[in-house]
Amino acid sequence: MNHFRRKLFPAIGLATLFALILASCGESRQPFVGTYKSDEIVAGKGHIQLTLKDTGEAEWSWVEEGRTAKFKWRVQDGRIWLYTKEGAIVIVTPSQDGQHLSADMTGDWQEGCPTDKCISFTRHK
Amino acid sequence: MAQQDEPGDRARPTGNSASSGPTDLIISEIGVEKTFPQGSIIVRQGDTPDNFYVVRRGKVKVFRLSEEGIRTDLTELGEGAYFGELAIVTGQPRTASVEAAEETVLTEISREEFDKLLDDNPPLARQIIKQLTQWLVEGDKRLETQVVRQVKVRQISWFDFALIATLSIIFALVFNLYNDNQIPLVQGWGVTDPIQTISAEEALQKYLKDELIVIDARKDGFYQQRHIKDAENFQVVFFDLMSPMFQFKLEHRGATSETPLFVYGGTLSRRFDHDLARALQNLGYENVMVLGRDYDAWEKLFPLVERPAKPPAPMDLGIMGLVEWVPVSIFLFLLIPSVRRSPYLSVFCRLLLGVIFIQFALSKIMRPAVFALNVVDYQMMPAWGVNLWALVLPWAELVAGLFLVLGIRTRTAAIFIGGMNIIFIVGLVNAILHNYPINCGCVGETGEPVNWWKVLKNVGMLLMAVQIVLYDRLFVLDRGGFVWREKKI
Repeated sequence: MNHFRRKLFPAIGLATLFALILASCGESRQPFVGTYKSDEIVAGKGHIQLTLKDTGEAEWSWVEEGRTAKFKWRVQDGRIWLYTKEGAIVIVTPSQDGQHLSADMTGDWQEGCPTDKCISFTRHK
Repeated sequence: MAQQDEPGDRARPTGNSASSGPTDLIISEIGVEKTFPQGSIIVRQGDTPDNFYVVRRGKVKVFRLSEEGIRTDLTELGEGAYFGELAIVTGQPRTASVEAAEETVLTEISREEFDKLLDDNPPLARQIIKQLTQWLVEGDKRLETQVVRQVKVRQISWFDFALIATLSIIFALVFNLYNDNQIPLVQGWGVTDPIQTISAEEALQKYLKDELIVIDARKDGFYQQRHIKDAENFQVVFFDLMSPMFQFKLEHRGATSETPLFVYGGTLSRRFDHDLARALQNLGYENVMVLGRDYDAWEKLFPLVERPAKPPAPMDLGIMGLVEWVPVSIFLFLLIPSVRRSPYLSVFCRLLLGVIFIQFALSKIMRPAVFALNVVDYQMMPAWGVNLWALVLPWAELVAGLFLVLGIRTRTAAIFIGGMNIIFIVGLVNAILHNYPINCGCVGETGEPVNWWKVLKNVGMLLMAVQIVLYDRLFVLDRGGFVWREKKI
């Protein structure tokens, strides 16, 4: 009995850790994988193309400028979290079954996407 | 206890005294032979003693049961050994139980017969006295072992601190080496491109003469709260994504590559202004300037646009958001003296703190750049320490949390966690007093406003850590082995 109890406690500890790691893994990216294009020309410099890959990699390209930034992304609570190399978080709210994305450029979490800091995208591919 | 040379005839007292010389005892004329099947209890701890036993064939186990029902096997006796003499000599209830380990034949000798046996056999009486003395010595040694173990369990050594710190640093450095989201150990380390500095007074003169463009490099929340009038806000953390837009805005203001650009918004870590200045230089702007050591002088000299601070919106943090509240309940427990000293409360505190700190650690470990920005936001860490802190702290949280859950070096782990709580409390209070519109960076990565509730939760966790340091002694794996029960000494 003692032997069993001796093993039980560390086992509970490891199971707790495993559950916590699993819980922090996030949701499936699959529904949002694809290429999106900004609805409007941004700052007179052209459209932004957002590519979300199923590997968790993503690209943010200014097509006409020929500039591309790479970053990581994941899904949490149905919203897309983009992580820039510098450590900023862009929270993107999908709508219309993932056909439409609204990127909040304030860098904070908010219920919606503030209109003056919001870039809208539509699924392209 | 005795061993019998020839079962049924003579018994030789041995116990631990086989070397004390043979003392043959005639027992064949006394006692009653009895057979016990395997597993049957021959004498029970606490019973009134009536008999003394000699093992003639088979084997018995001697054991004690604690009040909590924990069984401790003391010894095993074979053919020729005897037992039951202690209770008969002292007249006290049986101090241990004896169970037949296999089918066993015993000679049962009554108290009267035993007394007569002692009267008739002084060597046996001497042998029993020797044996009792031996037990006393062994009991003292056992007590000493237990005391040493207890002391070791409660001992805190520099080695334990070094162990947790070293593990955290090694894990942090190795993991960062292979992490996709790797960050440099020191931001800007090895970057040699010089950034022009300008005094706040000179920058103000040029600003008033409209000879430079002012750019705020900080996050949106800080900019909204307070910024220099007519300053652009180029969040350096979005530079990779938004640099064409930043260029567009500069072009819109008539800037050329030679136009003086004054970048401000540095904190103690100088993360924002220096990084943005370098990024703008890389875009081809040749005349980018930042403030020197007086990085916050702009707030006192320049005309400002100010608005009330808008704290980040709170996000639902799920179950961990709720678990984080549990430490507040510690205040209730502390009101009950018997509970606040309970080692069972220590176990509860250890599990809860362990789980909370492991959860704290996981997201920060995966994305250290996000946490580094949180560290910058608190404005208490110099540049060289930001990334090191962001890399090592989450691993220290994880290692200390795991130690608490698994029962390893619990008091040291609790001191580590208590120390971290003190640092968090100082950081939170400082942020609240300065009205910083920042995220806590505690449980999640964003959506956690800094407020007094966060301070209260951290105070609760600090008290839990103190409780563990003072009273933890159950279920701990420490230098003397695994201690599963409270040892009362």
